[in-house]
Amino acid sequence: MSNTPYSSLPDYNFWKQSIASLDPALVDPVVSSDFTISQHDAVVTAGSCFAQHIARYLAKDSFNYLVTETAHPIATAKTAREYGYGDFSARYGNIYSSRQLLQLFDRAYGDFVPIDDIWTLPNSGFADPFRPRIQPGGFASKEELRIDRAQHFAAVRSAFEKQDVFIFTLGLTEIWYSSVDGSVYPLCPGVTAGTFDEKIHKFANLSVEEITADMEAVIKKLRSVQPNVKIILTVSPVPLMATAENRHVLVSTTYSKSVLRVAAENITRKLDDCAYFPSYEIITGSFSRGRYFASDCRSVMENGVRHVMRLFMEHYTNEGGDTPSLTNNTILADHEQHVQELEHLVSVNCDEEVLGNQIRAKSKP
Amino acid sequence: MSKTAASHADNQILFVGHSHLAAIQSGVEQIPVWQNKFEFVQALDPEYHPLISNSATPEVHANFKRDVGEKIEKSNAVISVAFGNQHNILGLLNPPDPFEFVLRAEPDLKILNDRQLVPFGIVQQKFREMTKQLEIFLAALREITPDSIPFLHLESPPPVPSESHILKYPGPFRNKIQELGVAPAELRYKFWRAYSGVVQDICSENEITYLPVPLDVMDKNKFLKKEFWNDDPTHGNSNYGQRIVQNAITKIKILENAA
Repeated sequence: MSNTPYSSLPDYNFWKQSIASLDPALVDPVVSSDFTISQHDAVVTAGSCFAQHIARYLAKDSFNYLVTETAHPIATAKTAREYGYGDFSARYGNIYSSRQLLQLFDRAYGDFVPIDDIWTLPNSGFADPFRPRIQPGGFASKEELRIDRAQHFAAVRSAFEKQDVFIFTLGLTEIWYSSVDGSVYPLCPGVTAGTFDEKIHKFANLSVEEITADMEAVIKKLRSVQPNVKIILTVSPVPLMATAENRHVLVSTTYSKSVLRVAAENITRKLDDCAYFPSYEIITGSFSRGRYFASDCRSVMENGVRHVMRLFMEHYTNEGGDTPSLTNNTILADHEQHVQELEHLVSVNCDEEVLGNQIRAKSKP
Repeated sequence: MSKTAASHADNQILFVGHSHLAAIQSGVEQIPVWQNKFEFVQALDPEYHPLISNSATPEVHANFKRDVGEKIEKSNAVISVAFGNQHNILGLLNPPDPFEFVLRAEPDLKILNDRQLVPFGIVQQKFREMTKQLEIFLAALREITPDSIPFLHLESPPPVPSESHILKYPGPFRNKIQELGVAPAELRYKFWRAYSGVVQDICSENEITYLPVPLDVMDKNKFLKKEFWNDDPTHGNSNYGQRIVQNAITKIKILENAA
């Protein structure tokens, strides 16, 4: 047999050796990483809902998962999650598109102020058009929303300026935007809040070129505030819930994921310290025979997330180190101690009041 | 669920609860015509300790239920003033990590900008967590109170607006006040209102009449009027107690007439 360019290639270049002959759980399409994350590196996450899994694992495994918009310690973990705390590094909710991420940066730094400011809810509350599900029941007043938004933007800036690694999961190509000023909504207006106006609200399906340009622009901006930030891009394996194109949702899903995958490839080939992590391939690859999806063929099962994160930890992280996430536990413990001390003092105050009353009663003739 | 009402010939009103009972008791003692019209069961009595058992299925102390049950037999109304200071645990002093929130019912109140803004739902959730014992307490009382007689739970007294009054009468909070400082009055008001809302919900869930404080005990900013301040940071005085009792009697008459 003659030598060919394939002769000296490693096993991972070949389907038979790297897929067909392996236990599915051992399939490893990552192969290598351009850089690693230490437990001291501040990691910021954003993106579509799959990015929440990455955040969850980083926090669980004692990485320095940077959360700059934390729930006040009076909130239980469950309540904090209901209000969108900790799902990502700041309380921005799901960022599905590259255009939305770019817009978030510009809004956080005051370079763009959408005309669509506040939506009124049927229950008389108010919603942020760009985080419509962040506050269950809506904000109580416009002022509360504006103060919360300012607080949020400060947290976003802090995350962008303190981060060592930024992990972004590209989710969708299909967007809804305002024809008035180009602002991009995470969800079509009217779906969970707001009112759809066909004269204003327009649909677009971003191309490879547009997404590549958006991501290049946003990475440049991120590096303007933190020059050393390393970028890890992933593509969400979660299929589209619905498509606004006049075609089958499965066809739109394939198109959308293909565009996102190519855009990610474009970026990582072009920019330094910018890597692609193949969580999309791990979850959707035929080797798993669909076992990483729930019965709806859309939700990713925990065993799939475990496979993804095992490989992420193996290739992108160093073992050992401190446990910085203890900081949050310390804050919670401090607050709990404060509440217990005050409970005791209130109890003493109440006892004294009753005792005082008894003494007054006894001293009467 | 409730047993049938016994004879109410003695025509008494039974008050049960914690420290806010003191103002009511001392107020009642000063009115001659009110003597023997009221009965009191103080839940802080050591005999009832712990009032709510610390078990997997917490229960109200059997002796408390026994004593209250006996007095209910002779009463034509039951009034609870229990667990009326929970809001002060969160709201009397500045916590180490100060925060602010917007009251959904009064969203236009001033918002302090020097502290973290917390969603109101989270504050409500915290109070809901802190009122587990109140829920158990009220449910147990509901169980032994006949449906045929009014069962009221009274709102806690409004906060004292004056920081200097609290500093003058700090009670057991003296050291903590020096360390953390008294919370701004606007914030203490919000905590009181937020707590009242949660307690009102619990009452509604247990079919108990929730009675807000009468408007005339409050100043124009809805704080406790000076003539009702007690010599401590959180309670009303005997004048307050008298006004609260009058208000409760009026409400009971309305409920009886409506029945």
